[in-house]
Amino acid sequence: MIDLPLAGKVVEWHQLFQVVYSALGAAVAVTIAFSVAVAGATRFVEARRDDRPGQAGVWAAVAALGLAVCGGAIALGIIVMTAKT
Amino acid sequence: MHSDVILVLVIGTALAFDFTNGFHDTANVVATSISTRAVPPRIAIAIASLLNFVGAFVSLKVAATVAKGIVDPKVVEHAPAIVFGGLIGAITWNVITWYFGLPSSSSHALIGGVVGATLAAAGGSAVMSDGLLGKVVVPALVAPVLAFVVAAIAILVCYRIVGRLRPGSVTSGFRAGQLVSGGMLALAHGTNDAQKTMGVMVLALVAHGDINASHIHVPHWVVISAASAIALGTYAGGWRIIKTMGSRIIKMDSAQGFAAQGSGAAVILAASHVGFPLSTTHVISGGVMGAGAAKRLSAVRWGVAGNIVLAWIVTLPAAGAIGAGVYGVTRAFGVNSEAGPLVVAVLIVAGTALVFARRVRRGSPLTAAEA
Repeated sequence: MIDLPLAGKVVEWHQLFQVVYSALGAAVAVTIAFSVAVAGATRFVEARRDDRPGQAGVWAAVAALGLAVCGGAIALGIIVMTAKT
Repeated sequence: MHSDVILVLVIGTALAFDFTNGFHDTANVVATSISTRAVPPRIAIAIASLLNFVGAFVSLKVAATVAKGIVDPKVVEHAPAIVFGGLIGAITWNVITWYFGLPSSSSHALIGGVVGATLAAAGGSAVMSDGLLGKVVVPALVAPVLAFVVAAIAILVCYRIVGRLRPGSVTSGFRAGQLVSGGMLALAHGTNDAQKTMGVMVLALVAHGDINASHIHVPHWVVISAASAIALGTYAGGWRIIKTMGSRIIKMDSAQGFAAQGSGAAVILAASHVGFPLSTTHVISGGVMGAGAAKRLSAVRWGVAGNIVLAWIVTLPAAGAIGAGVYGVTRAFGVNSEAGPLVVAVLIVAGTALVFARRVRRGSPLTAAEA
């Protein structure tokens, strides 16, 4: 194990790790949610065109859920940013 | 009571720096949206300008880091020439790198300039090396790599979900998504970059005696003026970018654009939240390269990555040396003399005009290299 006393004292590892996991989590989660929304919307259009109303409804719900997660994640991010800590 | 003339010069120079920051960075913020045809250029620039303005109001932690975490505000308290020297050092380095087409960071130049002028004025003990290393140098190294990795993971996950769907509707969907991801990137840019200028303006007010060094705060007029300057700069820079965009952008699809912008915005906002003053240019470049590399390694312009690393290494010491030199020149006219900053201000305006004229005559180095 490498001992880094100077780096340990100077670098604010807690804040640095907070940046790493927040950015990774937020960006990947929003991308997954939006990709699901795009996939849902695409499948919805295909199902409606093929006259499959049941499937179209399910895909529309998937798309709406994906968009809602995206919107919620962005709103949460802005609330966290603007909160006075 | 210190000179009002010097304060006006320093605040004016800081706002000019903020304007040029917005002007210079418009390309980074809107290029991805325009290249994937997600948003028409005029609308992209207008949105970016508006959200840069809004972003400046989101947080003040980066401003606090610049104002009291890098150099000792008590040293600056009686020496506005230090802040002036730092700003001129940053502007001069920006003009030099712009002339030679180097992708340097305005943020690193600003911090380097202030540190250099402080070193010249008060020696090493006035520089808070812990803050410089822990809040600037290490985050500056980590952030572009983080943006690269995050964008690469995001685009791989995205392709996994939408890869087998009809490309036409997927492209339309992600183009719509880029309205939001591009907006978030502009917001993040305004948040981090406008705050650096706010921090320097606060240091100027400390030097003038308007703010107590022991009780640092950011006045509302500082926030509003810095937000306005970066927003106006973004808007003004956009019209230049529309003309040169075609030769500079990296070809990418709308899903890659979404991933790159989202990753860049997430990294910048997360860093702003803990008060790390990042180079937004480097973070956005990291995100774009990550989204490109995940699809095809050869899509990345590794030469650009190399230039960024080179510029990163050189910017802090170079801007610092210029800042120290400018402080020395102003000091030669006398302690807190108005003559020194006035002479330097006239010289820098004349020098910048000369460099702009030469560059306009010779053409953009980027366009020439890529032609």
